[in-house]
Amino acid sequence: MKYKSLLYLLVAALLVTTFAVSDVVAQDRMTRDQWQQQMSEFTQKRDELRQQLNSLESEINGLNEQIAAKRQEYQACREEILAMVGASEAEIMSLVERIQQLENQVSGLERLSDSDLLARRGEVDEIKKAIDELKMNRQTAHPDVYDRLMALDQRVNNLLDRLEKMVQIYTVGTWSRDRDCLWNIAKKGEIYNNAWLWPRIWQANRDQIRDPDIIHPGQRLQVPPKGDGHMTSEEQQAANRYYREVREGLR
Amino acid sequence: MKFFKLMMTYAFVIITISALLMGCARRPSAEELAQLQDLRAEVAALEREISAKEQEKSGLQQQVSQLDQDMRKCAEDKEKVRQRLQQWN
Repeated sequence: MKYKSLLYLLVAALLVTTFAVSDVVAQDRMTRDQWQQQMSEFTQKRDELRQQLNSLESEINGLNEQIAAKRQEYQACREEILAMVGASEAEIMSLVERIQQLENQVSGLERLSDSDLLARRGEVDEIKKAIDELKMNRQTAHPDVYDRLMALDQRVNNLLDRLEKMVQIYTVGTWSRDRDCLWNIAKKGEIYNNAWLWPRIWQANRDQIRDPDIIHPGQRLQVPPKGDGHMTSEEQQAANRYYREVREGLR
Repeated sequence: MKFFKLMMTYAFVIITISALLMGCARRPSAEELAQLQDLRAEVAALEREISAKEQEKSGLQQQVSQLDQDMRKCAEDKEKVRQRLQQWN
C-alpha cells in the first residue's frame, strides 16, 4: 500500500516537471536574465551599427563631392586641350571619323596580293596625300586623333615600301646602241618578255613620260612586276587610247 | 525493500525540486520577447544596409581612382599637345 502511494507521488512529480519544462520550451528556454543580457547586447550592437552607418554615409557623401569636383577638373582639362588645338568636340569627332574611313581603306589594301596592290597604287598615293593634308591641320595634334593618324601614316608607309620593293628600275639606253623604246624594253627577257605589256611601264612612269613614243637616254623608269601577264583596266584603257590616236592619225 | 523505498523517496524529492526551480524561474513576458525580436530584426536590417553602403563606397572609390588616372593622362596629353603645337609654329 505504501509503495502504491509512493508511486502516485512520483507520477505527480513527473507531471509537474513536464509542465515546467514545456513552459520553458515555450519561452525559448530563456530566463529573464538571459533576455536582459541579449537586450543589452543587441542594443549595444545596434548603436554601434548606427554609428558605423552614419560614418559610411558621411564617407559616401565626401566621395560623391570628390567625384563631382574631379569630373569638373577633367572636363576643364579636356576643354583646355580643345582650345589649344582650336577645335570643337564635333570637329574632333569628324576628324576621328575621317581617320576611321582611311583606316578601313588601308586595311582593305593591306589584304591585297602584290599584283592587286600594284594595280591600286594610285589609291595608296591618294591616301598618303590625304594623310599629309591632315597632318598640316593643327587640330590633328589632339590626342584622340594624333596617335591614330601617326599609326595610319606608318601603315601607309609600309604599303609604299612594299610597292617600292615590287618595282625594279630600268635606265634607258640610247637608240643607236640599245634600241630602247617602251615596246623593246617590255620585250626584253629580264623585263616582261612580252612587248605588248609596254603600257604598264608607261602608266607606272606617267610623271616622266608624257608621250609613250618619246623616252630619253638616262631616264630611270620604274618597272612594275609582270604579275599574271595581264594589264590592269587602267593600263588597258591607256593602251586603247594610244592605239586609237595612232589609227586616227593623231600620232 | 527498504532500499527501494529510499530510492523512490530520493527520486521524488529531486524531481519535485528541479520542477519547482524550472517552473518558478522569472521569465520575460511575450511583449518583452517581441521587443527583443524587433531589436534583432533592426540589427539585421542595419547589417544589410551597411553591406550595401560598403559596396557603394567601394564603387565610388573605384570611380575616384579612375578619374585620377584620367586626370593624369589628360595632363600628359596636354603636355604632348603643347610640344606638338610648338612644331607647327
